[in-house]
Amino acid sequence: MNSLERLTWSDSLAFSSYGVRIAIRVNQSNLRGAIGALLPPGCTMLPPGPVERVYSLIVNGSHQQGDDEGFHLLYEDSKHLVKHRELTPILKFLAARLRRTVAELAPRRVFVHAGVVAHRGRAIVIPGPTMSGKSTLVSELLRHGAIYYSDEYAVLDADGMVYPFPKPVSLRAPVSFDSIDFEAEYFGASSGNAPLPIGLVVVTHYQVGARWRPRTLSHGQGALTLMAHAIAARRDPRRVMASLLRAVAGAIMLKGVRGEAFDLSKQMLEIMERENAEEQVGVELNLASRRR
Amino acid sequence: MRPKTRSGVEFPKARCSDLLTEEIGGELLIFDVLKNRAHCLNRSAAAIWQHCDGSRSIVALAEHLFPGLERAEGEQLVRLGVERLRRRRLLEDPATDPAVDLSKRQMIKKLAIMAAAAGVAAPMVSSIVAPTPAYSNSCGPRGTVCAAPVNCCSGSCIEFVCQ
Repeated sequence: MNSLERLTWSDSLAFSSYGVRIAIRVNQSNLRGAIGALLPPGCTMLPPGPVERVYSLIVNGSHQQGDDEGFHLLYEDSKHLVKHRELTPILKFLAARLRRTVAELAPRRVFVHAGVVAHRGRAIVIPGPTMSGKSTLVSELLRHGAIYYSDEYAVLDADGMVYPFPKPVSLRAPVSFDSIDFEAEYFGASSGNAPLPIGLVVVTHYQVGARWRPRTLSHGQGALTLMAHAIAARRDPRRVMASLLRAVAGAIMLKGVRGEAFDLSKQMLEIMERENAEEQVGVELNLASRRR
Repeated sequence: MRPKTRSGVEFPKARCSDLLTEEIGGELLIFDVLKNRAHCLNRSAAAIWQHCDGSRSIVALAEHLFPGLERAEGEQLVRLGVERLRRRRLLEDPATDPAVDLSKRQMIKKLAIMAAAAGVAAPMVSSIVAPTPAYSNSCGPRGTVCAAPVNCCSGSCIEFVCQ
């Protein structure tokens, strides 16, 4: 029994998100509202029972000795994660950690670290590491009429369809790590709720003064690129590979450095418009030939 | 008579253990479970890897896989593919001598152009390291500037740098 088990917990809750069961316990009873606001998208509350992960939040370090006095402490199972004198940063950290745990352990979905929007019935996926400009590009795409799916994870099923993971869009202020959250409506956009096939994958990062001159990736290279951002790639590579190959099967994949997000977002939507128009022509030709 | 199976540079043999493979449009996606690395082999590299059974020589592979090329060119192309596969540890006996010197960029470029002229792509292998879950968080990885421990994936910010 670890030392956390000996503490008295004033409040706890359990939830399930994408098939991952998680519990959170706190040593103060007035934090339920704040904790409830941190839960990942698509979660349902659960009665007490077995879970995959337990997060323990100790407010004011009142149960701790020595150096931890006055700190807020966060644990994942028995592992100490972080401590801070202010509660808000700890709660933000916990929210991100919850999403990551869901992404890592989800049994029937593959989470790819990527921004996702939809246009003309297909998803645009922008994979990339933290601080590569995904959220900036997503926000510009939303301003230009795209539908919001996620600025953090592309959630794929076994058939390669993309599901929404609509956490608020987090934009960082220049030269700062602190981010501010915005709902999709702030950009004049709505959030999607239906699973969609991927139409376009854009692998890019910002470079001052760069011009968008992408090269096309093959389907294999595209799947490989998504694999580099798939959270469960090590844990369950077979399932991840199968899902990614289906996801990229009908997609255009482009790679290159970008300049300002404003310019690229327009070009990305134009590509989708063009593809959609070509598809429509194909459908009409097909129908016409059938009629004959 | 069954050909004698030999490993090494002249009789390369594809590694089969601890690898997961998926094919897509002639390309091959391979995941190395031991190294947590994924590789994408283009059509030529995939064909070379799939035919490296330890019994066929490089010359035999070239004749079989690239019949449209001059013998010397085909052989060089197979050697290039074998070396690229060997470096990714996708062949048995990865410690053998290199099949071709990959530092000779001009030679490789010339070879690729000649192959392209004959409608054959030079064997290419792209690789990535599968991410750890820590990579995924929207938090600062090691080395990023931070104001507080909560900015860092590790939870540790020392002198404004994530540890």
